[in-house]
Amino acid sequence: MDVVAFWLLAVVAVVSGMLVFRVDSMARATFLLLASFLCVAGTMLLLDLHYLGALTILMMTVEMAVMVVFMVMFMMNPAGLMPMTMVHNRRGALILSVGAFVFLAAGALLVPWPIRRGEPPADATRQLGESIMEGKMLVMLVVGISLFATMVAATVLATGRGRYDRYGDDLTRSRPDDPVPGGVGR
Amino acid sequence: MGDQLPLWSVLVLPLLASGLALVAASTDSAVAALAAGRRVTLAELTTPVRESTRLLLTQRRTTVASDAVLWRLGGGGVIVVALLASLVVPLGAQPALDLPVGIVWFNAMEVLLWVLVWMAGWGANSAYSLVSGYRYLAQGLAYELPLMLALITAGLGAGSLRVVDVVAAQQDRWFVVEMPVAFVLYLAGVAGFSFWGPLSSAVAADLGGGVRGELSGVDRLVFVAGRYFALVVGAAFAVPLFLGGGAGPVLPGVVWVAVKTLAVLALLTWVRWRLPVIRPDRYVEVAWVVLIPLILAQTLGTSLLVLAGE
Amino acid sequence: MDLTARLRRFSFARPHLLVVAAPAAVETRLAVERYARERGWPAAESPADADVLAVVGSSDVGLASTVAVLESQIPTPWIRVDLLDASSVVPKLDAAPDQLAAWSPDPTAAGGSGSRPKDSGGGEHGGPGEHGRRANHRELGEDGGFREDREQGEHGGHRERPTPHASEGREGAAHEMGGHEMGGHEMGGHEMGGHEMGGGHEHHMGAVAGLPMADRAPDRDGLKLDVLHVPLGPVLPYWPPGLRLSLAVQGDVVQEAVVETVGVAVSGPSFWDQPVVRALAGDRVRVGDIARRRAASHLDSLMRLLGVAGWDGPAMRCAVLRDGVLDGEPAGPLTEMFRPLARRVAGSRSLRRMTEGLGDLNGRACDHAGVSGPAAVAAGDVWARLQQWVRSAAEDLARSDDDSWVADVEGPRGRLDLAEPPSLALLGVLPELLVGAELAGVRLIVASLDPDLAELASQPAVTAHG
Repeated sequence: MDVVAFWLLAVVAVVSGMLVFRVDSMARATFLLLASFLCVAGTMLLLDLHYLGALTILMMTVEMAVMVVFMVMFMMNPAGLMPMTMVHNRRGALILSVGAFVFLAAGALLVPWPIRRGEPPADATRQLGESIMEGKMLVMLVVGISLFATMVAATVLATGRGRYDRYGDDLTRSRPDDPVPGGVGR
Repeated sequence: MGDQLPLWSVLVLPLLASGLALVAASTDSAVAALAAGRRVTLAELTTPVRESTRLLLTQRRTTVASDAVLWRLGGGGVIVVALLASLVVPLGAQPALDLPVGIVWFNAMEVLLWVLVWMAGWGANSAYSLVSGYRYLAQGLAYELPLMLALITAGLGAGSLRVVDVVAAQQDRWFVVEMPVAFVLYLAGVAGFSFWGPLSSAVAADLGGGVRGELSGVDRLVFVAGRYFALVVGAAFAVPLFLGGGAGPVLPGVVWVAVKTLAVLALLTWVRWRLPVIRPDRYVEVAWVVLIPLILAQTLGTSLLVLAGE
Repeated sequence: MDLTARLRRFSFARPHLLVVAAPAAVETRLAVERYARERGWPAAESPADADVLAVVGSSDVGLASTVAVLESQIPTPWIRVDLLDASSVVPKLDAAPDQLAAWSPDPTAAGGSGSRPKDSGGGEHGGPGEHGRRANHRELGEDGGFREDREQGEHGGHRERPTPHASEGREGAAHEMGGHEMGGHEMGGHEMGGHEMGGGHEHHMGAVAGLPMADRAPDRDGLKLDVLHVPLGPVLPYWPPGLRLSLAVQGDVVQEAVVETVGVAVSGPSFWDQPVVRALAGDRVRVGDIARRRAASHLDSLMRLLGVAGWDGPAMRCAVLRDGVLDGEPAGPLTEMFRPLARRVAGSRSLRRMTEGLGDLNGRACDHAGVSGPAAVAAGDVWARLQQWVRSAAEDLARSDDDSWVADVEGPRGRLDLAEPPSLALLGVLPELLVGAELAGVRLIVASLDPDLAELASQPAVTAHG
C-alpha cells in the first residue's frame, strides 16, 4: 500500500516537474511546480516525517503563491496565450540535467545505505526539534533574525524612496507622503 | 497514529460540515432579513437550500480564453481542502485523523486556499475577477502570520502539536482565558481564509462579486459551499484549540463540540454584520506593525506560564 | 404538480434581480428596489448571478445596447421584464417567478424569454441553453465583467487582454513599503536573446481569440507596465445609473479616466430635484416637501456608499428609511430611527480608516470646478462627504414636516439655480480625483459623489477626460 503510494507520488512529482518547462502559461508552470513539491511532501508523510511533510506543504504553498505573483509580473506571456518556447541552450541543458539525474539516481540506488538500528522515535517531531534546537538554539535564533534583517534591509535599499522623501528634508512631517497610505498612518 | 475514529467517519465529515454550513448560511440570511426590515420566516431560513437548488438548475458559463483547468480547479478545490482540514478536528473526543502534527496540518490545508482562490480569480480571464484574486493574496499576507503564531501559541500552551493533547491540556483552564489575543487573531484568520465578513474583499460587491462574479451554475455552488465549509471548519477547529474541546457538564462531548462551534459561528456572523469590508492595503500595515507584536507578546506570556507551571 | 415543477417553483421563488435603469426612471427604480427588498429578492451582483433582467425606464439607443450585451451573459433560465412606470412594477414582477419556473429552452422562440445566448461575434455560442450545457459567451469578463456597449465592433488597439503583468505584486508592495508600486515588465535583452518565438510572433504580441494583447506604458513610478482598458458601469451593484467610466488601469491603479453617460434622455427635472425646481419656477412648495425629498436622496446616496464599502446592514437600513421618508411617514419616528444608524455610521472607526484620504476635494478645487452642495460643504475626502450626508440627512429629516414656505435653492447635490446642473460639476471633477486611485478607491469616490445623471437631461452628451 505504502509502496504503491510512494511510486504514484514519485511519478507525479517527476512528471509535473518536467511539465513545468513544457507548458506555456506561467501560472500553470508555477502550480505544476507546486504539485511536484506537494508530492514530495506526501512522500515525507509516508516516511512518518509528519512535521516535515506538513511544513513542506505549508511553506511551498505560500512560496508558490508569492512566486506566481512575480512570475506573472515579470515574465512575458504569463497566460501562455501566445505559443512560445521558453528554453535556452537546449542541448547543453539537456546534457547537464540528464547527467545530474543519472548521477543522483545512481547515488540513490548504488550507495550501500546503512541498515536501520533501533526503532523510529515515538515522537519524531520532538526529536527533530531537539536535534535542531538543543545546543544550537542560540545559533538558530541569531541566524533566523539575521536572515529576516537582511531581507528587510535589502528591500529598503532597493526602494527609490527613503525617509527624507517620506517625511520631508528635516523629517518633521507628521504623516508620511506615500502614494498609497498604509493602515497605520506611519 | 493514536486514538482516532474508525475510517468510515471520514464519510460523516462532509455531512456534518454541510449541516453546519447550512445553519451558518441560514443565520446569515435571517440577519440579512432583519436588516432589510423583513420578518424572519421559514422562507428566510430555507434561503441556503433555495439558493443551492437554484444554482443546480442554472446553466454553467465559460469565458473567452479562460484558463479552464486552473479556473475549475480553483473553484472546486476550496471545498476539498476545507474537508481535508476537517480531518483533524475532533468530533467529540477523537478526530478522524490523529496526526501528531494536527495543528500544522490544519494550517497547511488552509494555506492551500491561497492558491485555490487565486486560481479561481485568474482562470476567469476577467479584470474584476483577477483583481479580486490578488486582493485575497494581499490579505493573506496580512492575516497569515498572526494566524500561524496564534496556532503555535496554542500548541505551545499544550506542549504538543497534536490536537487531542491540546484538548487535554485545557482541563484546568481553557486557552481562550489564558491566551485571548491568540483566540481573537485566530478568528481573524478564519474570517481571512474563508473571505468572510470584514475580510471578504475577494468577493466584494464593489467589483461585481469578485472571484464569484463569472461563476454560475454548479461551479458557483461548489465555490460558495466551499467557502462556507472553510468557515465552519475554521470555527470548529477553534473549539479544541481554545474552548476546551468536548468538555462540559452533563451532555456528551459531541454535543458540546457542536454547541461551541455554533457559538463561534454566531460570533463570526456578528462580526460580519458589525464591520464594513476592510481593504487589504489598509489592513496589511496594521497586521504587520500592530498584530504581530501583539501575538508575539502573547506567545511570550504563554511560554512564561508554561515554564512557571513546570 | 410533479416534483420537478415544484422544485423549480421553490428554487426560483426569489429570483436574483439585475436592474438596468435609465437615469431618469428614479421612481420606478425605487419601486423595484423596494419590491425586491420587501420580498427578499437578492440583487444580482453580476450578470452571471442574475435570473430576472429588469429594464427600468424607456430604453434609448445607449441603454438598448447595454441590455443586449448583458443578455448574452446571463445564464439560462432567465427572463427579461420591461418596466416603464412604477405602477407596472408589482404585477410584472409578481409574475416573474412563475415565468422562470416555467422557462424551457426553445430555439425557435424569437428573443422573448432569452432562451438563447446571442451570438455576438467572435465566439461560437452553444445552442439552446439547456440545463448543464455550457455556452461560450464572447468576451465575458475580460473587460471587467460588464460589457460596454460602444466599442463592440472594434478590435483595434482599444481592447486589451488583461495579462496580469500589470497586477504587480500589490501585496508585495504593500508589505514592504506602504504601497510603493513595484515590479514591471523588463523586456531586457536577456529574455529576447535566446528565445525562439513561435512563427509570426512580433515584439508586441498579436491577437489572441480576436483580441489584441495588452500594450505597455510608463506608470507613475517610471516603470513600464501593461495597460488595461477596463470600463466601470453602466451596470454594477450600487452604481449611479447611466454612468460609464472608461478607465485605463495599470495593475488596479487608474492612470486615466474618461466619463461617459449612457441612457440619458431628455425628460423633466430629476426626481430628486423636483420640489426645488418647482419652487424655483415660482410654485409654492412647502419646506417639508423639499427637505423630505432631499433627505431621501441623501439616504439613497448613503445606501450606495455603504453598499460599496461592504457594510450591508446599515445600507439596508438606509434603504428602509429612504422608503419610509418617501412614503410620507412623520418626522419624529424617522428621526428616531435614523439616530442610531447615524451614530453607528458616522462614528465607525473602521469605516473611517477605509475611506479617509480618498478622493480629496478641497475647497479651492470645489470653487474651481463649480461643485456645490454637500461635496462643497464637506470640502474633503470620502469620509468627510459621508459625514456631511449623515448630517444633512439628519437635518432634513427633522424638517420633513415643516409647513412653512421659505424658498430653498439647494438640491441634494448642489444649487439648482445655477446655469449648470450640480451633477455636471461632479462629473467634471471625477477624472482628476480618480487618477492614481485603485479600483476599490474609484468605487468609493464615485459613490461619495453620487452624480445624478438625470440632471444632465438638458445637456448635450458629456465626456470629461482626465
